[in-house]
Amino acid sequence: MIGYIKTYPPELKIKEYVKYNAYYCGICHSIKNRWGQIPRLTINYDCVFLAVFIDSIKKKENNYSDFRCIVHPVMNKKKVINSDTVDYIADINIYLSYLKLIDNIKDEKNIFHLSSERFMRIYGKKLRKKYAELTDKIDEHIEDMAILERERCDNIDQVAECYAKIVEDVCLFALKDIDENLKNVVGRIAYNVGNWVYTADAYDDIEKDIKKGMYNPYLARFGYEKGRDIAEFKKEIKERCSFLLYAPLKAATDLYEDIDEELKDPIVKNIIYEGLYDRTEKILNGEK
Amino acid sequence: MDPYKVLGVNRNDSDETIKKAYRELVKKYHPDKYTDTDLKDLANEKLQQVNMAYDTIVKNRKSKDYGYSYDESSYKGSFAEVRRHILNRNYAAADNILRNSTNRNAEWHYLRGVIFQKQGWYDQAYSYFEKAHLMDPSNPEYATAYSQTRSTANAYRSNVYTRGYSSADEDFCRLCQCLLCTSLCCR
Repeated sequence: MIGYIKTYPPELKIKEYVKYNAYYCGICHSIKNRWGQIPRLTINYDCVFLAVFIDSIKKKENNYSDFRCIVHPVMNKKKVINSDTVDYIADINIYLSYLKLIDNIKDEKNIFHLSSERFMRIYGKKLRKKYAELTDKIDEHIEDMAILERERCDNIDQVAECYAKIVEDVCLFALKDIDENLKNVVGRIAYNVGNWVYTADAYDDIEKDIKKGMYNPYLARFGYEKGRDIAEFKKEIKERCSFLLYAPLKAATDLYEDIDEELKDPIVKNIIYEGLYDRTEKILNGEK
Repeated sequence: MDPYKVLGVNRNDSDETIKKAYRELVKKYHPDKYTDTDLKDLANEKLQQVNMAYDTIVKNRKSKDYGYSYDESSYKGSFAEVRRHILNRNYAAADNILRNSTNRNAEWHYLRGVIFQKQGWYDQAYSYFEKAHLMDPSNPEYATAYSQTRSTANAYRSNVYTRGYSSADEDFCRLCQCLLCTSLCCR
């Protein structure tokens, strides 16, 4: 999870904005209360989306409480409390950050990474015990992805699928009791959002990966030759890449339209329409 | 058994109506909808009857050259079974038949494209639709699939804009405009 999935605030209502932030703070506090201070640093907005999405499908109403945040001590804030989804997502967030850390170490061994890995390893172990069924699946997808990266796979769909499946599994694990048909649709939505995160992140990394000589699915797919002008290469592949980034979003929104009106959430809609659109345009135009 | 009765349609109904009735029934009896094993078996049985009835009608009408339409003509191809699996969302079975087929014509490429698209393998889907269209440019089914794929980004974009999205910069312009108007009015 990389923090790509965000809302588009100009189109959010104030009450939705408050709810969205209450989830963020709820997850942050859930980590603090159950895992301690340091893992709080791993929190990002992707997991907030998942929590809101899961709760909206479950039609779950939340309890909120007021508090003061250490980062913004003057403001009164709200947080979601006593929520299984929030606790679950808080755990998964730590687990995925731990996996990301291991991945970073493969690319670059520095003192910071190595020492935090030692520290995070304890959490990884505990979470593998607590969610054995799910973490086995996630580990398998990560392993598949590592193999494809090692082979310098030029099938971008296949590589993206590893990540997409992780997001799908994480969502469905929290929604075991829902109707089969709905589960299918929700799974596909999660898959497509995951697919987008991977393809968007990889596109964003093209320059970096060329400079470091690392694997990037776009370079393999479109046959980048060493020493070629990066801007020219990106211009040449832009149209197809624009398709690759928008295809999963189109599919996700089409699927979301099929869901019962009462299960739809304005925050989820805001994210999969405006939020991800805004982000995609920025990535394609090379803005940060 | 009268195939028309199975689908609950009249003999004189158009191909379109029959297809619609067929689709409805497939949806109704889709085994995924039932968790009870007895019900599931029953649904499966019904589904097979429906499939057979539909195939019979299509075949009969074809031989009489009744109400020819392009969509129906595609069922004449060797891939009728594949299309049925796709309709039932049984992509693995459909893919399996295609992989083992040696007849790799335009329709073969098109159908693989459909399966890839359903699976979320969009880059592959794009390439296969493109190939199908190049192999048989006169076929409207492949042409539509290809042009829809090409315009995916625009389709999504227009969905976003119909919801009322406006970029932050535009908002700022509008704010200025609004202020200007107010100041003019209040003068």
